[in-house]
Amino acid sequence: MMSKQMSETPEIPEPDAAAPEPPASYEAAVARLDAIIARLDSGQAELRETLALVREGKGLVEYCKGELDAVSGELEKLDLDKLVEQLESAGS
Amino acid sequence: MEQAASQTPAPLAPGEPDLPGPYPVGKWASGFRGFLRGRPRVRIVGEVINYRGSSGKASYFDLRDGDGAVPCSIWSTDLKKLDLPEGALKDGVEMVAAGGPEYFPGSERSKPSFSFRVTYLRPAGEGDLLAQLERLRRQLGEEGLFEPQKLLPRPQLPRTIGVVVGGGSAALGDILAGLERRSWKGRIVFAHPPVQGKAAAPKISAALRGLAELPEVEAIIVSRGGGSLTDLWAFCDENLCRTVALLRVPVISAVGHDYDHTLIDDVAAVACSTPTHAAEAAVRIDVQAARRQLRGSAESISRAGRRAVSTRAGTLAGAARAIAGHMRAERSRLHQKIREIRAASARSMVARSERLSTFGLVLGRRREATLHELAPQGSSRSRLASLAATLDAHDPERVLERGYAMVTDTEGKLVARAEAARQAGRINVRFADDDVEADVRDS
Repeated sequence: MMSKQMSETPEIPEPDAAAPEPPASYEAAVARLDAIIARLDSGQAELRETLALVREGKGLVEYCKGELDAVSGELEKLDLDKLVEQLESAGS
Repeated sequence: MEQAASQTPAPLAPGEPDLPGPYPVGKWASGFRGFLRGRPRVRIVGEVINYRGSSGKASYFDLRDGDGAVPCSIWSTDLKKLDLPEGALKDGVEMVAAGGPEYFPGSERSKPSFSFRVTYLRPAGEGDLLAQLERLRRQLGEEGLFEPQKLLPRPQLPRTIGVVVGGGSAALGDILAGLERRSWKGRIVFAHPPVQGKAAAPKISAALRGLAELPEVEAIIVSRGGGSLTDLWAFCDENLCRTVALLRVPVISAVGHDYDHTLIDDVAAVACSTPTHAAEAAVRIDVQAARRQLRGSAESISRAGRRAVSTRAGTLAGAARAIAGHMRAERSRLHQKIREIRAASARSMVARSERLSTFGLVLGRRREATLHELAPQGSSRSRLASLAATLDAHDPERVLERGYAMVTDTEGKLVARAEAARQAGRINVRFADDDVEADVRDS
């Protein structure tokens, strides 16, 4: 009897099973993040959807944080002519 | 010049051409100067090169185009009268000069020189350049070259930006200030081609192509400070604009003042009025503000997750409490039933006991009466006394008075064996004076 009840319970996907595609850009990630928050705030998402959205949202937050960190260190100034010289000398 | 001819011609040497002269060179030079000064005064137009500034009395430069050049000079007094804008006369600008040929014959110690003596000077071709610009603008527009750049995706937060500005240009500082305002500290790849003159446009095009070939570059800013249309003419170059239109990377232009409108502004993805605005167009978000917003988003998501779980946990807890309440009510109802049953059972035992007492009392009285009737008959009396004693011995009340107890289950049914007591679980033990209830436990 117990085993029958277990088999009727919907399976909860593994955390990595439904991993979303990585965002195409920072702005795409932010737009998706806003959509997720709007959906969560609506209160219409079921528990499983909520947990999946929270998981995806946390992934997007990490991605955006990485993008912001990438432009928050030291300003790097390169000269095109010197860069081309380096590339050419490396290629020769 | 004929006046300078010698009155006594020298004999011709072998092979010497038979020409007038020879004349004293100084006189001929003076005559030549007079000849040049007699030429019609004209206007000439070309690009200023080798501008050497004022030497006190005069300024010197060359005017050149694709077919040739003429050394020019202008007296400082004439230049001052023209009241040209500061810096208007400099290398790379197209100028119209009015004047005529001049020859300085030199002297015993100074070199002779030829120049076009300028008496009037102005920036050249504003009208012609504007007409040419409009013609080019119409042509490129009809070819649809204004659209491709505007259709390119433009990242809000590029990691690498290309910047094309003149070396030492103030525009560079403005761009860096704009990026600083965005708190952006990514990677900049600079190119510093000339931004004025005939050589500028091909070199700007080459710089743009070089930057676009770097896969990391996500946007390119092209900027130059203000100037006349002639100064900015490189940014109206047809080939440069065709290069920009077909570049894979979005180009943000900020050329000249906000009222200048060069052709590159038409083909670029975005045209900005200042280098600062170009920087802000290249990085469209404030990094610090975005970081704050991201923290808010993270908190919203975590809060939503916690709320989703806690709300449902509350619902489940409520359901669990309701079930427990039902269980308690049912248990209470059963206990009440049990108490009622026990009370009914006890009342039944008392009634039965009272009946037995009454029955015993009646029997006792009958025994006394019988003994009294049979008093004369000695042997019979003795037998009756024996019967009475036996009857007393079987009176349950008397048995209880001797320390025995009577055990029943909760329904009043006699429990005579230990196994029956275990099965009953709870029993009623009646002593001579009262009843007690007891739970059966095996030791």
